[in-house]
Amino acid sequence: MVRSMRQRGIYKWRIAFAAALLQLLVSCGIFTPRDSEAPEPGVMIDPFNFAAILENTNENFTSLRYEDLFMESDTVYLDVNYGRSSTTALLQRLHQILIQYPRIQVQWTTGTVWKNSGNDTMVLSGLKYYIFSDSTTGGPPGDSGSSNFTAVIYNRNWVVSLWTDIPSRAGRSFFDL
Amino acid sequence: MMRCRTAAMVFFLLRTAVMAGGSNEWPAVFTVPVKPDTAVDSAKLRLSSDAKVFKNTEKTSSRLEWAPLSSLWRMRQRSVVTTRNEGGENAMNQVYDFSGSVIRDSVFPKGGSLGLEWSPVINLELRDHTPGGVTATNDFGTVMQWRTHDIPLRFRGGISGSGWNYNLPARLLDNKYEYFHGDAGFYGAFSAGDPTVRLLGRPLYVTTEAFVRAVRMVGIAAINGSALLAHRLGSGDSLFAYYGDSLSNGKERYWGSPGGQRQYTYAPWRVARSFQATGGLKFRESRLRPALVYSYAENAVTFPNLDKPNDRRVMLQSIHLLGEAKSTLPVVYKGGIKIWWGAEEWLFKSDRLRSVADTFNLGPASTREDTLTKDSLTVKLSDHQIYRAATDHAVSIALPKGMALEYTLGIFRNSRTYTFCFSPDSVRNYNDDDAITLNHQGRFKLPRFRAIEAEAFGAYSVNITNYLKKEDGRSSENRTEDGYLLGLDCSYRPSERFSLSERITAEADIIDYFYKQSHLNDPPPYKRRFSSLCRGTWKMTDHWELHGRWDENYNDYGVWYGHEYLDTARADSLGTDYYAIMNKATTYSVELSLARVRDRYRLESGCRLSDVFARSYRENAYVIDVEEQGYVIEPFLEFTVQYRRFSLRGRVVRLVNTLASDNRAFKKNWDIHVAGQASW
Repeated sequence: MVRSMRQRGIYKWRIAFAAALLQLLVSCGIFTPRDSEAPEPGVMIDPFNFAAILENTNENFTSLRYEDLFMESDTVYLDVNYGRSSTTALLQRLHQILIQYPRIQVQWTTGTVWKNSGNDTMVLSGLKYYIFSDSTTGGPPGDSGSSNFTAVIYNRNWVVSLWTDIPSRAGRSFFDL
Repeated sequence: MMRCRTAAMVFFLLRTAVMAGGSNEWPAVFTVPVKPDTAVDSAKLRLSSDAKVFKNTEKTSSRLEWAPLSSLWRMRQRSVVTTRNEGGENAMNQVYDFSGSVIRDSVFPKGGSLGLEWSPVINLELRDHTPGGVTATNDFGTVMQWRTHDIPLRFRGGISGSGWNYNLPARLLDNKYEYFHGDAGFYGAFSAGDPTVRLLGRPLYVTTEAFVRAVRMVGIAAINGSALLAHRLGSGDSLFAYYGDSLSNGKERYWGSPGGQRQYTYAPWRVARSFQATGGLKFRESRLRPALVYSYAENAVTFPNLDKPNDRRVMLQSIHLLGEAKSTLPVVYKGGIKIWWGAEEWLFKSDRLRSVADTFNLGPASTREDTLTKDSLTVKLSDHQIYRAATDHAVSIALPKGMALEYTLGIFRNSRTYTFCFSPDSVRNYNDDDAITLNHQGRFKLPRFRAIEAEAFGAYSVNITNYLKKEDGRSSENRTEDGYLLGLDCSYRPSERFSLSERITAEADIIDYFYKQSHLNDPPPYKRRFSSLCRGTWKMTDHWELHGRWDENYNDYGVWYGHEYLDTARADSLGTDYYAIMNKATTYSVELSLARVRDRYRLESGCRLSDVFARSYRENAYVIDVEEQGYVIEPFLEFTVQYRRFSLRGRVVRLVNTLASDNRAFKKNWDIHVAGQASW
């Protein structure tokens, strides 16, 4: 009799435990994101559509801010016509072209992907790009070319460590729109 | 070196132990390991070889193992030679590993053993046009093992050396002595305890291990240990307590190129400490079996001599509630919730903070005392509080007529709140965020109808990126990514000789930005994928089989042109919202093969035909992407031979691309893999 009552008590305790678990789950907002601040008007993210270069890799950039997207390096952009650019110079050139063409649109095709066995380095080859200066992708592109990218894991995120630009016409580059 | 890596691995495992596993799984640290079965292998000599040629890369690996046994001693000698040749680079890399040991049993009372071990490893790199190199490492020492009070004790120790030459000419005999370099030192290791055996008959499992290596008087020492108490209380409930600790201190030796000269060198002096204390209570077996776990873990790394401020400490506490329900009803439930809270601190020792600050500070000494430089402050900006929560639930229901239903739900939240800022500009880190992942998965097994079996499955996932601050454009990146999957597996098996199966899936990924005004004329990406895989086998006789496979996939990638993502002028001219496909591709693959099956061998010959039809949207039309990718035809031959002590298996494939210009290049268009083994 005493044993049966004790067992019933234990069982009730466990039901209470399960109920508490459910209560905790549904009522505390444990999995509800906090409120975020609305961005300032005019702040644009990834106008050059770099997110698309990882399209067929099953990977994503954690941040599309160009300061985070390109690794800090003396040679992060290599233009076969003009030579190398540091990250600071590349960011400046991206900024300048955005001032000149605020409605720019870039389309990237996918290329071949090579990943190392440690899955912390990717080489993306033969990605073609088509640049539309006025955000109309229906007409002919203002410029086009092909690029190779090397992406590496840095601070647990994918970043571009080298962008090699191979424009479609001699003497031009991604920035010669 | 290997032991240092082991210590580092233990450190890493302890560091990640808190994170591993679903929240409805009992923590792995509370599981008493089972003593592995020591299967008796009668083979005393084993020779195996594996060779692969594929697209300009050749790789061969040969292994010889000799393990003669007697009642008094054990010997194991391993010889592994691996060659890798990258055709495009004209560089060959060879590794020779001649590790081995000889141990005599029953030298000491209670079966104590004594022996020698050696581990020479030579790495040879040869190139066509530039000097190659060779590196060699070797440990040679004694091994001892004995028991006291039923506690196993093990000791290893000896000399350790390495040599290298990174100016090898193409003709090895032309080598000069001055190019050879070498180092020597010692190593020692001690371990006690067995994680599978109770300590002194108590429900306590204790192990400890220490290792030291010093070469040229520069060394590294590592110690780690763990204790697990697993005690059943009188009430039938179980009490668990675990403590694990590891410490490594010193400079790890590695092969590198400081100053452009390739040589063995040392990593910066590093002190790494990691510990975890965990307690748990698991109620006795019943219809509902709840459990409760609390854990504290701390991982710290400091670099005492390094000017760059990289010292970091992560402290995490967690509470974990989980339960499992089983009853006579055909329903099984397993669920749990786990919450972590803690902090990541950089330059966590105040004296270290000052010394780094002093290194960088160029101002007068008086200011140095109180002022932290911008460099160390910048590092401190990475300090943040951590909050994580996870819940996982799994339900399975067995239904009549062989039907079954399974459902799993998993939610994970990872939040960071940055705490450090410095004046006068109120500089701070604006990466405060909540990353939330939600996964629903379901599976329904349909009733069997004659020879047909089918199972439907589906998944829905949501990934939320939520930055809290607007500075640096962080919150404008906020988005949700919804993933959908629907699928059907079915098979038709009217007899033992014939089977046909089909798997169909449809997937979609949809991204939506929170703040659409930050993405004007930058519509979010969408993608879809449909796939079908059909396989069939017909065993025509006991010795002949026909196999077929048809694989077809379609995928596209594009953007969602919605009014909310366009500026006013473009939105006005847009009719209805639509999904604009930018790239689409269809992949086909058909394979048919015939196999001859006998007791001692299996021979299969067939052919695969595949094609990728990829198009991109350009100038108002879909244009075919031509990348020298025509139809690919792959005739192949596969064989397996088993005869007494010998076995041989292989696969030879000839790749033919109808558009490629270099189809006759031998190394680029063959995929050959042969592996054999013989043992006595």
